[in-house]
Amino acid sequence: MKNFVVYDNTGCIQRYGSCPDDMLALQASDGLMVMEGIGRDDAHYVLNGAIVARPQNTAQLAGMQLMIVPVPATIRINGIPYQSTDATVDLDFTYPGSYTITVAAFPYLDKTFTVTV
Amino acid sequence: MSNVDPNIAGTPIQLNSNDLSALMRGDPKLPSIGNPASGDAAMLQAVNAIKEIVETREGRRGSALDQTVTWRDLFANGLAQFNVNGESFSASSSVGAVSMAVDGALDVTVPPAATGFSATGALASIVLTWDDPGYGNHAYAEVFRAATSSLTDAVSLGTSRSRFYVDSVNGVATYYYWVRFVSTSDIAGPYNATLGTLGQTGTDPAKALALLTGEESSPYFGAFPFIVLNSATTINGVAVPAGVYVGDAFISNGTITNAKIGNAAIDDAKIANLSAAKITAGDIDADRMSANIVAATTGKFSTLSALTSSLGTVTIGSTGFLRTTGATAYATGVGIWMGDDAGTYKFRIGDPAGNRIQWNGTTLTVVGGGTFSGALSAATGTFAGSLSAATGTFAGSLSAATGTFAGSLSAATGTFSGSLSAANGTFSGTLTASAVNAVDTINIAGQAVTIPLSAYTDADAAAFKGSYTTVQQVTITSTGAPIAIISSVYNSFGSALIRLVRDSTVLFQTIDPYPNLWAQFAFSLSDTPGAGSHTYYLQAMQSSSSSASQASLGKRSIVLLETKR
Repeated sequence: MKNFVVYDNTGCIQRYGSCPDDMLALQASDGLMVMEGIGRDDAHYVLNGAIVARPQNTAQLAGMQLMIVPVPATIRINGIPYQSTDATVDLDFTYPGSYTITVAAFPYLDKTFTVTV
Repeated sequence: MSNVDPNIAGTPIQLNSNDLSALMRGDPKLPSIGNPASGDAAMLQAVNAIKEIVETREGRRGSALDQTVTWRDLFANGLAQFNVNGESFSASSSVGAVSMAVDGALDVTVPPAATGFSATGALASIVLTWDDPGYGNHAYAEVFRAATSSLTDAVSLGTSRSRFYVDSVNGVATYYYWVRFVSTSDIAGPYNATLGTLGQTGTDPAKALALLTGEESSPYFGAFPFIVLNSATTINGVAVPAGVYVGDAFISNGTITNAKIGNAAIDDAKIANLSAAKITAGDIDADRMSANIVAATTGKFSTLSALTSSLGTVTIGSTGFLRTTGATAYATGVGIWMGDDAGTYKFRIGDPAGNRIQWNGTTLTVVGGGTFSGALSAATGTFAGSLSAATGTFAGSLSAATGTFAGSLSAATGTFSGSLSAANGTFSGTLTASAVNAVDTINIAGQAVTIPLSAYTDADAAAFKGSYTTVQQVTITSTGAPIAIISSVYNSFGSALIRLVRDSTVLFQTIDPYPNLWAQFAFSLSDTPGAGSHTYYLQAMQSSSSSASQASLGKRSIVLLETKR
């Protein structure tokens, strides 16, 4: 048995798993690549042929503002994605409540904040 | 030295260590060939011819062109080189194409001087004897003779591998003798003494009597039947010692202190001690025979005993056997027994009721364990005890109580009632064990076990209305056995429909509308796709009833288990 990761041309791990030795090459589909190794899509990526840890996300929450947001980034608010091209993002909520905000910017690790309005 | 063609090519000639020693000693002192004084005419002619041939080849007479060339000559003239244990050497810098090799190691121990040397004269010969050489690498004894007791005048008479030598002098003769031993390395020891040992033949009574009675100048001319000579005399230049000369004597009972007999025909002789250069007998019956060397074309012994023996080829009869004292038969008595047992060739070493190794004609049995530091090959094998080997190959079955193989183990089948340890092993047949404890991995041919194959992705993937999107996939090469499929997904945003597709065949799908938002959805099913490569796709499509911009699916998992057993 071999552990494998399937990744795209940016190094983003699409999936990982294990398979018999002779089925390793079969796991790569069109446009994707497979390599033997142990890695998770939420913690690693492939850089220069090696599986390495994804870097820490620089985003910070200050009040109702996200700062040092990697550019570009996808900001999901309660699962709804919004694309961002700014390092500083102002948050504005119509209705009071608790909101889960996730900043995703590959290869950075996703970072999640909770805002209560 | 005549010219010799230096361009002699040939196959190297193997010499022994004696020859190298001979080379180092220099030219041998070969005896000259004397002129035979009298004898049969044909014999004289033959001897003279031999003498001429030898002297011509030695270069002592005739043309130098007819002289033979020895290897010593070639070496001395730089036309040959010798190889000794891989090293070559020659007499000069010019080395010819001829080479020789000397094998074996040289023992340069000097033999001891001979002891007990004596010379006893008969009528026509002088018998030389000496004590047993008694040293390990004895080759032969070399005998020298001179007319005076001066070693410088002595010439080599010949050699003997026994403890005596007969010098056939053919008449009245007086000589002085020496002897020395020569080892197998051609190392000669010292002479037995500085002064020679006197050897004299006795007077031939018949010849003396003929002189006394047949010569007119003799005072006893015509006198018979015996003559008493009070003092020595000389007749026609021949010395005749004093004594009693009898023509024909018929003795009923005689006692002789010292007898020299030229020819004797004896009906029955009892001899306390007999020394002979040669004994020709039809049958020799003795309680004990002691000899330096016994050479025989064939030998038959009812019982042959020896403290130690060094034998070349030993052949026993087709129905015979070899055994140690205690092993009285193939299956009886502790010891070694080998030979014919009731028409079958067998051997047994050890205790027939205990530890042993034996072959009964069809089966090799080892009781007490076996250790093979090298390879062990057998069609089948049964070991009641332990079996240890570096490697082992069994074309048939292998059975043992326990087994330890430091290297690889190969067998068609194997049965171990106890433990089996090996660095690695190959069984082309059946391996039966009460339990198999794998430290690392058990690799079974054809992967004939349940094969798990999985893929997982934690991050969300997006799915939209109108068409399915693959959110996870895994490819398997199936042998045709059923595949158990376990899949799960977490719908974190926007309702979605889920389906499982194998290649292009939909195996499973949920029904629209799909109410289980924000839930981990899992399902399992079985599929038999047939042998070959197949890809399973986990796909999602945003529900038509969803008001979100998209559906998000995370923690996407597919696990395949091809169940062969």
